Amino acid sequence: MDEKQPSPRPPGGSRRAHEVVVVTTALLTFIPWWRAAAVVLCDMASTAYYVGGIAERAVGEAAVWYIFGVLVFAGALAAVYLESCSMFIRGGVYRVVKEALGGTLAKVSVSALMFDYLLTGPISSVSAGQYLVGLLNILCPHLHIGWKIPVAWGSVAFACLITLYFWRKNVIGIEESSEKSWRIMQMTTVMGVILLAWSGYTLWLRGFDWPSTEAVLSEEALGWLRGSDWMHTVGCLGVLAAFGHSFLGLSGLETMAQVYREIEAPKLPNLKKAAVAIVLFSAVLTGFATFAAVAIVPDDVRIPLYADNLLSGLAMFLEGPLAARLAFQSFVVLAGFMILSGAVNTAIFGSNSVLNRLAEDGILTDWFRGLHHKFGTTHRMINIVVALQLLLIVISQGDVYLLGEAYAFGVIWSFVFMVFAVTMLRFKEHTVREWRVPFNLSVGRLELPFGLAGILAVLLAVAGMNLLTKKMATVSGALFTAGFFGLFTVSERLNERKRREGETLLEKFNMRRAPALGAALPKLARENRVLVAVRDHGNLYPLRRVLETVDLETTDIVVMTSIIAKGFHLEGEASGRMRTEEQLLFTNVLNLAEKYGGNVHPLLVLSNDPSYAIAQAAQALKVQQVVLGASMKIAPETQIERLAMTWGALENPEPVTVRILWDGKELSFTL
Amino acid sequence: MAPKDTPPVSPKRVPPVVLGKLIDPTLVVFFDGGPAKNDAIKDLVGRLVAAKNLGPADLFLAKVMEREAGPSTTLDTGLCIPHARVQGLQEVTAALGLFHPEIADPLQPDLSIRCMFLFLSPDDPKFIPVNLQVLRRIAQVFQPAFIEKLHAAKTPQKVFDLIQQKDG
Repeated sequence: MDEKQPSPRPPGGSRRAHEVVVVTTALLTFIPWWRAAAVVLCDMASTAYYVGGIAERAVGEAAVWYIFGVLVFAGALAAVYLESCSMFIRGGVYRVVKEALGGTLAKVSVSALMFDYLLTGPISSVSAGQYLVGLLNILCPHLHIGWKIPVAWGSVAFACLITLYFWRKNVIGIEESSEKSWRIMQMTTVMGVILLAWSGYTLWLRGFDWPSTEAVLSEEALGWLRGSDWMHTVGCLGVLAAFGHSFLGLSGLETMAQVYREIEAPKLPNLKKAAVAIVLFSAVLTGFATFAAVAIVPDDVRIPLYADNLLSGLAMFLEGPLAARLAFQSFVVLAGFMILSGAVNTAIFGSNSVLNRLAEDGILTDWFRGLHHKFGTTHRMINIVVALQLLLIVISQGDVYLLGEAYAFGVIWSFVFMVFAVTMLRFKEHTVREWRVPFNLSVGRLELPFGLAGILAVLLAVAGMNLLTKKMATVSGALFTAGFFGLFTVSERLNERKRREGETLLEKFNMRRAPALGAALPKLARENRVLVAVRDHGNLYPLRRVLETVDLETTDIVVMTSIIAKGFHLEGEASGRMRTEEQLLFTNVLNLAEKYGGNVHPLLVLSNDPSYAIAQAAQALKVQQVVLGASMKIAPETQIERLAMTWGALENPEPVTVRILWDGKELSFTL
Repeated sequence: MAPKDTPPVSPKRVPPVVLGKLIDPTLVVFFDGGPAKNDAIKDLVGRLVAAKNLGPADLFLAKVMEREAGPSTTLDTGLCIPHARVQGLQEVTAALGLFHPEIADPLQPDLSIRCMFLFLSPDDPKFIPVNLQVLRRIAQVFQPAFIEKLHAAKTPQKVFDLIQQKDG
């Protein structure tokens, strides 16, 4: 705003805005599809570093083919997630299962999912530690350093440090985290290209034998079926068991649903692009890297020495001078360290998102949703998840195979529930979906989802086999799932009691007092600006129309409401309690913005005159358009009259277009 | 419930409004003694209707008071802008009142009125943008400093001259 000599003091009272409060929450930022893909890939593609070793220990060198098979299956599962996101903005396991199968099964499914997320962090960070320690132990003799770091506890120490680093980043907020994921995937892509090219050259030069297709299950991998004849008499059981031991390669897909909320408009098309990128990248990197490792690294050293850092082993056996191989191994470890650390980040982010969904739904008490006073994140949930992950890291004592086997329980059972729920919703929910899993057969008026049924059949078979062949996973998974389910059930009962006592469950917001309207939103940078004035949480039609019609990439949208200054107090800079009416209003504003993937800037102006508040905000923020909803009590042109007066009363007002929107109609004038 | 009176969409720009052309010196009134706001409105409407030979004053007064029952026409600059759209009028026409001492707005006791710019305009959708520009321009021109100058002018002719200079 211009700094000029103030006009003579007007007689009587002043109606100008008194205080400006900027409403913030960490969840109002949106990311492009390639950053969303990077967030998911930091989990899914990171499995390239450990799935090969874990699967081969269980089923022999045929693991290569089963890993390829699992990664092809990832495409089918990604299609299921696309369908669930086309139905719900927050279309993860919990929401979808709840809609289809009810609250109890939804809690069971999300308990399994939480077990998945809890283990993603430890397996990724411990694996990163294994690679790092392995590299250091190889390099030290060459550098004439007499260190020998104990592999197990050394990897545990590094794992804890990595976890704590990303704990801090997540407390700060998602925007920071997705940027990091993007940088990590850039480095991983470079590493992957070199790995593929150099491995291809090595295979071409030396020739190779195709890995066997016959799965040879180790005693450990037979689990409770050890000693039984079933595996030998029923051949497909071995295939299922082998498939199950390779299922780790699919971890991270659920993050697609969590990250969908943050994807910018157009949402579903962007998610499709992200899904294609995720599946292709994982298949090429994980599949080919594992193949190359089996084909290049000799059998007698591959699993005995490099089971927990297979790609390091691959780097050491490529064709070329030792110095180059050591340098490349260092780069592989560096990239691995970064992407595996990124998976830790994704695990924290994903589990935080899941717990937020539960809290919004009243499963978790309000305490869990308490916002960080500075960053506005749900730091308590983040803290609990990280604490459990650190505990699991220490308990594992650096055993990647143990972590991997336990991990698969949560991965597969959350998928089972998800696909089952999406299938049931085909029969229960008949609204048109923007995307559906293909292979549907119409029989009369009934449509049979053969595609979904096929995917579900595979998952159930593999999940059932896993229960029998992975003892540690079954026991620990069942215990954790039961534990989470118990926690969620108790918490939900406590919340039900509060709801009966009249407490409403709403989005959480932080508030920041701004000294003046002009200083309220320093981040407005786009060339076009629209101010949408809202009042009624049940009527956000004007905001919806704006989100549907403006170019969200070139337009800043400020959503303001004005309340009477009397009776509203802010204590200090960032405290103060928002009234329920404003919470409801801004919760609905936020939900609408999420649906369209548009960034909005909420603003609360304390003033004795809403028209003045709108006029002053519009002038201070240099908007080109002011959008209002129609009043139920006065004619739209009368509504604009007051705004015309207050606009004229400002100092040096620039022309502005005022639009009143209602029920498909519009009245607009330029003042 | 749908909003009342839904006129057609009209996003057009209008030519600038010139306040000096809406008023003449015979329709500038000094109110000494602090009359009630509604009495001042009645007085200005009567003078305006008589001067322009518009017809029965009661009809116009009723329209203005009907509008006064809606969103406030008083600003915190000491300005009040009573107005109405009336069938049969062909153009915008206005009268000005200056109050010494200032008077209170009974509906908003914290605001006081030093100047009242009353205008009547045709009740025609084509005039809605003109109406808005008139309101905007009046509020823009009649800021506290300018209202002080008008009060210091002492005669209707001098008030009219000042308005002409400011926005003629």
